[in-house]
Amino acid sequence: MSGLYAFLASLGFAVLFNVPKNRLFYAGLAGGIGGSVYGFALYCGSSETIALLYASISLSMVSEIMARLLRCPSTMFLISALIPFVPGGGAYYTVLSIIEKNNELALHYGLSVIAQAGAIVLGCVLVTGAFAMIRSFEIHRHKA
Amino acid sequence: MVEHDTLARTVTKAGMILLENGAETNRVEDTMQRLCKAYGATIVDTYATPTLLIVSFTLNGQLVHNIKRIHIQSTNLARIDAVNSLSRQACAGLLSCQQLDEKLDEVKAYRPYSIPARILGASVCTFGFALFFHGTLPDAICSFVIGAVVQAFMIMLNRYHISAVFRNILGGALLSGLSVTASRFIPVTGSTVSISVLMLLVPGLAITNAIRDSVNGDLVAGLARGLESILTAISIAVGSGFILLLLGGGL
Repeated sequence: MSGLYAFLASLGFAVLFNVPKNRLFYAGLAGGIGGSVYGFALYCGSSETIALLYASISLSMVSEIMARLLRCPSTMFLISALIPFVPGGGAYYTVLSIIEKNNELALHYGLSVIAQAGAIVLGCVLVTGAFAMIRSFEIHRHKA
Repeated sequence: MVEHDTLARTVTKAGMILLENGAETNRVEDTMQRLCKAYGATIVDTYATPTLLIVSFTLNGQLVHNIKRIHIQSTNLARIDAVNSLSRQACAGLLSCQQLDEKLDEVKAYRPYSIPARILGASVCTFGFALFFHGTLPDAICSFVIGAVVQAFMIMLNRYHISAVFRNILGGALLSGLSVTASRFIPVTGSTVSISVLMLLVPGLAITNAIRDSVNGDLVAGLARGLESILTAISIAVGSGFILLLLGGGL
């Protein structure tokens, strides 16, 4: 189910970022796949942070593959798909706890936000790096 | 034969469109470099940060430089896609420099989605978020409405030249004010609604580009975009935190 919800959220963002009409669906799809992986990982009992890592890896891979198939920048899918996973909720509770003068809770939320953001970044970087490596291998082979 | 001036202006225009509409630094530099080489320039150097564009090349033995100050505007990925495919065509030798320049002007004139479409997009988005954050159906419907209001407000503010920080403070204040008020009168969870609508203002593009730029080794651009996203996040927090304080943090 979280896949469907993430699909809706990514689709909405794709409109806000002016993704061309014929590619709106694909941008939503990348988010949806990330959401399904995230939901499945949580269901299998992995922690929030690890689930986000899996989601981020899967949606970056999907975006890169779609970018190659449809011959357009991968940014188009990646940005819309990545946004639902930004730990906005954690950041909100951090600020809320600071306002309520509950510093321990604020620290707890703040640290988990940093860990989650790190997990998303790591997943994205791993996949982008791997695809850049494949591309440079291909270019070398053409030259040889 | 391509004139120096024409090539320099056209290439800078392509780079400017890419940068203004949210492309990552690597793509901007790479596209400009390819275009220059496609039209016969040698010793090409390009440099881009979120605020500045520099291109330098040698054509027919003459050294040419061009510098452009950039003001990043709204995100329009359709324009980036269009420039990308134009650059492919130009590198394949299908476009003369003159034609490319005319096509770039057409891309510049691309309209974004209409205002109702953008407001609807924002509502669908917040609706999805509310359910994604384990909200109930009333939460989602409430987010749908507040999302539309906040997006309309942000579109209105975008018409005036107000600094981004102040805009985000106002946006954050409006969204938390509305969702706390709503949670007082109808049975919805104030925090879930707030978080869902909050995601509209989150600087997703700046964060993603900051990461990609830093990883690609464009450290100056990465730092600038990182600072942009941190500033935005802080201003949203200030806006909504202020309202929560005023309303007694009642959730």
